[in-house]
Amino acid sequence: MIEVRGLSKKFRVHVKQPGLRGSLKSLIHREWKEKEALRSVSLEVGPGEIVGLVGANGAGKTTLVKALAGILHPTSGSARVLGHVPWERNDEFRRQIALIMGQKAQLWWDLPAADCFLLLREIYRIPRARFEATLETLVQALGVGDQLKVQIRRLSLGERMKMELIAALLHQPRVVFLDEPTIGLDLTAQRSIREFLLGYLREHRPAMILTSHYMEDIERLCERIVIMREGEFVYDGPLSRIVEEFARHKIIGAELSEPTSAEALALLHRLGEPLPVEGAAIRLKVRRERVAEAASEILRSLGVVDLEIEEEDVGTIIEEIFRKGQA
Amino acid sequence: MNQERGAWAFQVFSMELRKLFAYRADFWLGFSGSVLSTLGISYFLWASVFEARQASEIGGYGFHAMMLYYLAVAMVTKVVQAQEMGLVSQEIYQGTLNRYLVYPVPFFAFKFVENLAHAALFALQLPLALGLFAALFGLPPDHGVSSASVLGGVAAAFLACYLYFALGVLIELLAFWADNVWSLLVMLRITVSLLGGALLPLSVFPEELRAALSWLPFESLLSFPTRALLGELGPEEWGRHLGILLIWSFVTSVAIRLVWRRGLREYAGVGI
Repeated sequence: MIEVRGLSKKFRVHVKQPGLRGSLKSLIHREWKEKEALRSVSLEVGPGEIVGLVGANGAGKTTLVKALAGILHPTSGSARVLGHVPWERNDEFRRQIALIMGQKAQLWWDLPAADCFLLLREIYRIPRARFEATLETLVQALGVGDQLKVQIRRLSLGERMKMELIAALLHQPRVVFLDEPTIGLDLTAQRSIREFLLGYLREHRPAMILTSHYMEDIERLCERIVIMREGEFVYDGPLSRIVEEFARHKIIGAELSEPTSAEALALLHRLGEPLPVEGAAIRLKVRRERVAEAASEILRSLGVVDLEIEEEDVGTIIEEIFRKGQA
Repeated sequence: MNQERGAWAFQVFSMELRKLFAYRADFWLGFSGSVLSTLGISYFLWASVFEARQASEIGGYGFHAMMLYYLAVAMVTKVVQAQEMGLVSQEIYQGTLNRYLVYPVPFFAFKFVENLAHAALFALQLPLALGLFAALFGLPPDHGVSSASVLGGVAAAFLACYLYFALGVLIELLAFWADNVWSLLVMLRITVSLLGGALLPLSVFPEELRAALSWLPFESLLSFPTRALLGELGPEEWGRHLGILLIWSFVTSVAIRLVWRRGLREYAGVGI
């Protein structure tokens, strides 16, 4: 459904020196800086698959999503979404995709959601009966029946995001791009949107690309992730393989019989990187090849009541990857 | 099928009108404010001009007819200029153009339909203003105003509205490259007002200047619909102005298409 080959995008950004002198100078001579937002990335996404794009700010996630939704022209490379070149933006293509941007409202702020949906019914030429049935289902699932007649600008962020989701899915798109759909939402709203998306994915099996800074979004929704750093893919594969491929550490957790002494702390520093905990417990980040040695040293030297060895948190590993390239 | 395809346009038009009608006070205050201020300004301005020149006619207009022209051109200008300036460039600067690129609907048609709703609202005010003028001062002795001339004038104003919209859009598309296009839009508005006959009837201008302007779009944008409204035009002038409007509209639309395609290559879809 989505095929991307060697896609690159360079932006030219105007740079100005600070202060009045810089402003005057830029009146006569403009300085430009080139930024490579995407560097020859390739990707395939099939029906019913949801791919999580993760990376630090400026890694190129949103640029990729915008290019695939037809908003941006790439500098080089090719892409096909449902057999169409996205940036040619023909109506047949646009009728089958949806883009939801958590940071940018797609709906008309002065209108109530119900009016926006009516307009979208005409724009997408959705038959009335199908429109009413789909709207009813989506409104029920997201629990926003009471807010349909309220102006979009008067809704809370969570309610607005739910309306954006309804607006994007009314025409039952076959490809959905979600750019940070839960940004700024409280935990309850985040959870309800995640549950809704999972349900929608199961029922309609669209291809979805999701970008998010919240690891919980990625862990709950995506079986496959793509980690981006400086416009490149650092990893593209199952979420479950991240640990075996990239985790360089394990965490040793132990309950001690008495609070940690200075000698105990010195020992932990020698064995690895102690993580903050309270009371008579320790958590130690240890390189994988030294886990056995560190565990036996702890058992021998400290009064251990209970001990466990865990894998590092997936979110931490991913964050490490997009900060340094690997954990 | 065609009707179904264009159904979104009716929805946009109706929605925009509903938004405008929602502000009832704005409608009546805007109407009475513009009529009264136009009448007041034109009365004092032209009374002094006529008195200073000791003339009974200027550019073929007597004092009474000049007042009527001044009111008519002010109301026609509202129809032609319709919505406020700068909305397209704002969509580009703020990145809200994204939604129009994703929705299967032509962006400029969408924007023009919104603009048309504003033009329609002002077109409703036009006969009201003429009626008010007739009630207060009566129509000038050799006037040509009739229901047919009003209909023709309104139709001409709508055609001019498209061209004015297209000229504005062409400038606004420079927002793909320039940080601010506002000053260019103000220049367009001033040029159209001055050379289109909104400040003075063009019959007052020197013959050479009028000849030079005759193939430019300005006269057809404001003076043409105003004079059509007042029943001052014969079939030949109607034909010439319609031709100019159509040719300039075509040329501007082609230019928009080219600039739009080029601009989208620069578009980053970011903004506040």
